[in-house]
Amino acid sequence: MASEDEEFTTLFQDFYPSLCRFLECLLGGRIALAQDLAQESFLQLHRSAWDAMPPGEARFWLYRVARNFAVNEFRKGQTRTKFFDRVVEVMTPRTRNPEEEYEAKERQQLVLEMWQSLPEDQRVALLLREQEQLSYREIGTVLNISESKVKIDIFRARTALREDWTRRSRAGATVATKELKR
Amino acid sequence: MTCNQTEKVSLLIDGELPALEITEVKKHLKECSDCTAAHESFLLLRSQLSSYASTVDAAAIDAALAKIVSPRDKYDTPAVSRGWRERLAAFGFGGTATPRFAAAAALVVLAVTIGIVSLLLKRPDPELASGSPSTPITAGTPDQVSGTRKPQVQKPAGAQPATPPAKPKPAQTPARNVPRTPRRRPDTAPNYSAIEANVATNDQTLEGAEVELITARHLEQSELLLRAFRNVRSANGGKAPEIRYERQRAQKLLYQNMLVRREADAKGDVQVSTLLGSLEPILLDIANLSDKPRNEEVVAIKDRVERKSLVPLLQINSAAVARAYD
Repeated sequence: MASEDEEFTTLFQDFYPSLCRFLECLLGGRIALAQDLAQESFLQLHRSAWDAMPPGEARFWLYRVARNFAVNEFRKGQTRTKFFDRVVEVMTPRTRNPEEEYEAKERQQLVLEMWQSLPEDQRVALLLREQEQLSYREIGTVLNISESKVKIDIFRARTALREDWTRRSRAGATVATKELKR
Repeated sequence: MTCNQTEKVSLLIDGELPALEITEVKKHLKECSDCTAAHESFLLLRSQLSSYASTVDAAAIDAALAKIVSPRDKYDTPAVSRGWRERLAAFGFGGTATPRFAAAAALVVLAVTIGIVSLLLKRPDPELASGSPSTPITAGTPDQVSGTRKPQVQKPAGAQPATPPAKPKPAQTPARNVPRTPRRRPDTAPNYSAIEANVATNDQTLEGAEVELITARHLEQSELLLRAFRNVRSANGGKAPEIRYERQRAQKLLYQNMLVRREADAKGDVQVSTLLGSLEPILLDIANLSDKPRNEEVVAIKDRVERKSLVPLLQINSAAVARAYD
């Protein structure tokens, strides 16, 4: 029992922060809610036969459950409007001079509007890839979808973001254009 | 506009491109400006997304972990709503908390509930019948309940108490609040415990005076109910008639009416039995009205009450029975 708790503690310390980050991004920066849902995900894991899972499966299981919790929150309509506010924060570098601050603000505004157009499944797949560095196969395991669909979702998400970014840049968002051309 | 190799660029930066194609795509990147721009854009996006750091500090991690692995809080974490499996597990049924077990448990609970309800509903009939062996009571027929039986008492003026006047026996009912006048206060709660006790204990038939008293009170209560119901305001401006009080009273009186009617049957009091048999479907219909009944439903019951002259019949009979008691 003690060794099980130790194993679980290790698992928790390894993945709780990244699960919180994943949920924070999905939930639009609702930190408290993200931590609650991460905690709920781990609690579900603790109650299940997690120690009987194949190696590495617990991590996928956690992201799957956490994503479902986040989707439930989306459906409640409570976090939809705040999601993109947090994307702005995600894109914010920690220290800048005033000019960089202004440019970043404009870029954030662009990113904010671009993310609004992404479907939820594409958004999650891209987040798991870029933040958690999961492989396509692992993302497919987490989301219960095929590897081909993961590939398509990620590519479509990237393409949509890029096209939107380019279109807006051409329309006059000079700051964003500089970033792209840099 | 867009190069058809862009998807491979996406796979390349994710390390998902087959080894054989990597060189080819890298070579293509040097030649295709579109794919080069896409490559840069994808990498920029990655750097922005991956640069975000979690806001969770070490203390928060420890606190969250403690809530989960602490035995005391294992099932009491407020952030999580417990499912039925966990609830069962908390009571020591963790090993049996399967859907099959839950279905079986639900069936057992349902069967027990149905059994209890059916026992409660059937209880008065056999008990009353066995409580007066000398005068067996005929079981109620469906038409008595449905109200199709025509009341035999049609002329209030000619109605007389069918039972011989019984002298009161104060010694037998010392604790009861025996009224001295035929008309009693409406708020005097009739005591039906005698009948119910008789039913429950399978005792001998009640004394005549007690039955007369109870019958008189019941007739009076029913009369008051029907008067109140007759005065219910019709629906006005889309507002449903307010019949909550009448409905509750009818529900109470319905059961009492059955008991008193069967006592009257047992005593051979045809007149009172017929009157109560005529009253029963009316009580049933009032008791079964919805919270917001349609105006037509209320008016239909009022018409039936008037057609059967139930109010004057009840008044005459309750007065007659009470006089007989006095």
